[in-house]
This record gives sequence, C-alpha cells and structure tokens, in this order.
Amino acid sequence: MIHVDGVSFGYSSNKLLFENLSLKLHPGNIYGLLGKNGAGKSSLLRNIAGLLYPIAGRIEIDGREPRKRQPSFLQDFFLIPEEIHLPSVTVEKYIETLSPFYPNFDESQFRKYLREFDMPEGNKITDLSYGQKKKVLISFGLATNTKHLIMDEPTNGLDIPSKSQFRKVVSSALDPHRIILISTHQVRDLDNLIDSIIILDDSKILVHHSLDEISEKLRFTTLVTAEDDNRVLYSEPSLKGYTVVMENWEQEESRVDLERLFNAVMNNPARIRKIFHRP
Amino acid sequence: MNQVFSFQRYWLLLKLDFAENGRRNALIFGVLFGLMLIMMSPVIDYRKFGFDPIVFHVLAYFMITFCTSLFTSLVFDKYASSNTGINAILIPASQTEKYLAALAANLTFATALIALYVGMHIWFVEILEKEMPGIINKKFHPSFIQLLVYTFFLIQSVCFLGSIYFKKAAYIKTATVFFSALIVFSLINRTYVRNFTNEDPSVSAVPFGQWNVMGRNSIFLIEYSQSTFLLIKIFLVFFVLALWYIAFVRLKEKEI
Repeated sequence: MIHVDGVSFGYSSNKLLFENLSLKLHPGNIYGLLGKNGAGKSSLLRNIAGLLYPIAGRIEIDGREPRKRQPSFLQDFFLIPEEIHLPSVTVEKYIETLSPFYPNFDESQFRKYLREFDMPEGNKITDLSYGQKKKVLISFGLATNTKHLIMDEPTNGLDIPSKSQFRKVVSSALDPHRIILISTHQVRDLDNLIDSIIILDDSKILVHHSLDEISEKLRFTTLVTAEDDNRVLYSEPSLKGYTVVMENWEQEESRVDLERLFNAVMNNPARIRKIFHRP
Repeated sequence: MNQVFSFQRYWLLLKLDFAENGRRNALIFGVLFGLMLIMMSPVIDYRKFGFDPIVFHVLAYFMITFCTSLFTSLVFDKYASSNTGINAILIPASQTEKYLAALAANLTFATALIALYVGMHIWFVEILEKEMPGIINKKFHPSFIQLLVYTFFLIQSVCFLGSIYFKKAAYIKTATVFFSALIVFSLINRTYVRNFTNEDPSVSAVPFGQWNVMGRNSIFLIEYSQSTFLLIKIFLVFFVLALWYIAFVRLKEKEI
C-alpha cells in the first residue's frame, strides 16, 4: 500500500505545491492522477518515488520510506518519468544489463508487450523514435512486475493507435498485488483503463474515489436543456442538446466520462467536495 | 537483504556502466592512445629534430592528465543530469554501490591510461637506445615517474571530489580551487625552504620534491631521506583516499 500522510511540499517554503495531502492507494487498482499543468502531479509522484522529500508529513510504501531508497524498496518500485532517457544500446543489451536488478522481471512478458506495441525487433534504442522508446520503457516497466508502478504522462509521444495499445497492455498487467498509478493531463487517454481517480488542484486533492463511487454520485448524460436544472454541475453544448455532469439523485447508471468529470471538478470544487462527503 | 553492499548488485552496476559507457570510454581511450603515439614516437628518430623531442613526452603527460581530469569530472554526471538522473538514482542499488561503481569505472580508465603512458615512454626510449647506443639516457628517473603517477592520481581525485562537490561548472571551480591551493602551498613551501637556507636565492624547491641548489656551474640535488620520502608517499595516498571519502560523504549529503 502507498500511504501519503499529511504531506506538504513546495520548491520554496513560501509557495507550497500541495499542503497536508493524504491518500491511500491499495494493491489491485489502477489509479489515474489528474490535474492541470503545474498542479503538482509530477512532484507528487517524485515524492512518492523518494526523489523529492516532503516539507511535512510522511510517505510510506509497504511500511518503507521511499526517501531512503533502499535496494529492496527499489526492486519493487518502477517509475516511468515524463522525460525518458534510454542508453545507446540494443533492446537486447538493455534487458540483459537492467533486468537482473528486478528479481520478478519476466522477459517473455516484455517481448509480448513489445509485440503488442508493434515494435520492430533488434533495433538499437537510439535509432528508435521518441514514441518507440517510450513503448520500450513502458514494456520494461510492466515486465519488471514490481508491486508499485508509477507512470508520469506515459501517453505523451504515443500516436493514437499506440494509446489504445497502451490501455490494453497496462490493463493486462494489473494483478491483485500491484498498484499502478498513472499521471496525465490528457484525461481521455485513461478512458476504460483506470478504476480510481485522484484529481489534484490548488494544492489539494479534490477527488479521490473509485469510478464506481463516482458513477453512484454523478450522472453523465445528455439533456435537451441544462440551464434550469440545479442538479447540473457542468454542461457543454452537443448535437442533441447538452452533455452534462449532474448529481445522480435518481441513482441511474452511467459511464464516467473522465474529461467531463475533470471539467466539472475544476468548475465546482466546493460542490464536488460536498457531494462526495455527504453521508 | 543487505541494503548497503552486495557483490552481486555491485557487479551488475559495473556491467551496466560498461554497457552504457564502455564504447564511449573505449573511443576516448583510443583517441588519447593515438595522440600519445603521435606525441611520443618522435623520440625514436631523435636525429631528425633540432630539439630534444623528449619534451613531447612531458607534453603528452599534461595532455592525458587534462583529458582524464575532464573525464573524471563527468563521473557523477548521470546522477546530476535531469535527463538521466531519475533512471540512474532509481536503479535498485545502494548509494555505496553506485559510488564504488563510479569510482571503479573512473580508476580503471585512469590507471589504464597512465600505465599505457609510462609503458610507451619506456618502450620508445628503449627503442632509441637500441638504435643509437651510447646516447644520453632519456628515460625518466624512476622517482620522477613516481612523481608523475602520484600527481596524476592526486589531480584525478581532486576532480572526482569536485564533480560531486560543485553543482554547476564543476570543472572550472575545481581547477580554480586546485590551482589556488597549489599556489598557496608552493608559497608556504618556498618560505619554509628559504627559512632553512637563510634566504639563499640559489635554492629552490617544489612541494614534496627535492631541493635544487644552484652552484656556479652545477646543480646539487638535495633529496629527502628514504624514510621521509616514504612518509610523503604514504601521506599522498591517504590524501587521495580522504578525497574519495569526502566525495562519498558529499554524495550522501546530496542524497543521490
């Protein structure tokens, strides 16, 4: 479990990126961390990875402190950063030299993921495009079978077919012991992939719920008119009227639309907080 | 699991470093070898030159010392660079292992290069002696070779520390500190020698080196006793070890 407990962090003590932030991430879930540019998503991930240290509060991952970066912790933790760097070697050499650091690395899985990403074989990593390098790193990260896999903007640089391949590959790599945390500002890339969502804005967590909880409280639908309906949190014009996010008083089922949910949360943070904290 | 040091993880780090940088290092080594060959081989054809080409052997020494110091100053670059830092820091190995792997890679390169230099010097001079029997011995005195080797490693260890001690422009800052310290130390040494010799201007000395007493037509060399010289060498070895240790402490302070 990843436990962030009352964490405050900022690059200067006068301006905090997030303050008294708490969350618990449980194994067997794929979490989506959403937020606007500059909201502090990457900084939060780096705090979790032990690359940055909180000003206050504590982070624990399965009872270990990431900031100590002990080998036993790092063997079970993999971070795919936004800006990737891979050495100038062949893919074969890359796995030959790096995979022994990860005791649960599975080469057949790695090759399977590469095939699913339509990656050419035997290439030198420097000869690959940025998107292809990202696919190598994502495949490697997934094949390490670490208990904690964190991806920072993993879909940046991937073309449209690759984004759906990404969703397929990542969802197949989840197991009951693993936590996958994906940060992105491209909300649609996580459609049909994540099962829980964390929205970070203005140094606070506005939403930290499973999609089931969200669809229980909110309804995503289309209305002919949205102006006089006080259930509506967010609306945008569409061909059939208005696509809306509204309070789900009738307990009707609907599919969570991440992009509209994100806009609704950004437009009505106080109301969202009230809805989700209502008993 | 041992969280501080494991031979298996250390070996993996060395293999990783070799895979990532082996080719680049071999290329640099090859270029330096070529340059040394160009600079040091003319001594064989001693007669062609209007001056003593052994001077190029000294210049070759300065060249490899400078180039290796540049190489050394980049030893922790992969941990400091924003591109490579995250990957390098998150490799499942301890700080001690990462530090020792960087040191080993650097020492392998530096030792191979200085050994090659000394070997080439002896080899070329022996060829010359075979070609021209009776020529004045051009081979460096063993104590001078020792001085060159000690100075080489001293400079490398200073650069090794500088590479982790300074955040920006590490090489320039290291060089500034090194040369400043060298000047101060030389001045202190000079004052010390002058005090001993009643300000006699005909006596000069470099730190840890022999004293040169210039007569009218000759130079007398006053060397340290063997035991004192041994102590100086031991001191230098400890000094180098201390610099490596400070580099390790600094690495821990920076929480790399």
